[in-house]
Amino acid sequence: MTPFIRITIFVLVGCAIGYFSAHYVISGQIGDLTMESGSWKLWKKAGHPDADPYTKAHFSLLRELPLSSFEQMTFSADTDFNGGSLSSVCTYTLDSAPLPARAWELSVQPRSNPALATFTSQRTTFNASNVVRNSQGNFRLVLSDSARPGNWLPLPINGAEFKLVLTLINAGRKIIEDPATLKLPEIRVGSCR
Amino acid sequence: MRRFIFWSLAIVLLAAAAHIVTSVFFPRLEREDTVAQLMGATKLNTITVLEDEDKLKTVLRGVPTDMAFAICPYDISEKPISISAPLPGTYWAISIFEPSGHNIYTLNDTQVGTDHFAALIMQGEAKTAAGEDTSKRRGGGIVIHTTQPRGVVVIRAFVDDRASRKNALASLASTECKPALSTASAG
Repeated sequence: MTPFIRITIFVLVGCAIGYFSAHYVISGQIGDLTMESGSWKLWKKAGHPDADPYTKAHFSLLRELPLSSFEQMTFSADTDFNGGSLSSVCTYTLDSAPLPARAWELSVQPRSNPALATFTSQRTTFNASNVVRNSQGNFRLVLSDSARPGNWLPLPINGAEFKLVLTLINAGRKIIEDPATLKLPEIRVGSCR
Repeated sequence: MRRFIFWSLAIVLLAAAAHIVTSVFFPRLEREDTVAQLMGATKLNTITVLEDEDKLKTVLRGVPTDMAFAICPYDISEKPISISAPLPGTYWAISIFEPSGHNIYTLNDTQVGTDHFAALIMQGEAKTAAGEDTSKRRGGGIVIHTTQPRGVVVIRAFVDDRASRKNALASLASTECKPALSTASAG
């Protein structure tokens, strides 16, 4: 093996190990930087002044400026309760108890090319003020690419994969201190085309 | 054997360097670029309400959809910046970011405690040598110290539904962000 080939292999292997090890931590696939509850994932140190470099890198690469959990907690889910990827070829239901926060928002976000996503309605969110609840304060959301009765949240009509983002504004102190105690809505898959 | 150990150690060192560059250096550049884009998107020392949702998504990514936003990029190298804002009656919060992307200050409407927010952003140490926060209320307003002469103020208000977005935007538009008339002492 010539020295040139040896050095080329050395550089490629070294850089690949360094890059991919960082990538997997930054994306939250390995390490203890996120908290998972069912399908939902939360970056525990998002927006904290003492956040670790990987958490900072995660949001920096998304070009986001997160606020601390005292102000805002952002949970995201890209799989249903059974672990299947969320796709707009299916319908989903989310049943939730009242969320212990001053305000909240649940939004549908396409996982790729958000600009190309087409929805049958302009509304892609529900929030604490406009969701219809039952007498106990619980609510059910129905996610589908075509209109449904009740709290219908439209999905992209092009069969795209999507993620759900649940943002809690000024969550209760207990939830901020121990997010694992929060009961998040289960994402149940219904029929698929 | 000695050669194998040499190359193994060399690969570990190169991998560590690549890991640090990928997880610290590149993200830091990206974060600074994000804030630079935010600061360059609107006029300096002036509040701008981000009414256009497409522009909002370009300069402030990953923010809740049911919020209205206003930003004020500032330069306090010559004069402090004075901020005065009526609170809309729903959730409202002000955050200040340094060019590095570091969030140095956040306060929401319940913490303000009244229906009006007033603050002065000026250069100085944000904490004393004893670690005490130097932000304090002076004459009905809050004095916020920052070591960086430039930064950006982001104000957000919760929007219950599409119909109330206009009211939230109007409330943000009545916010003032301008150079202070007289320089207050750090007290």
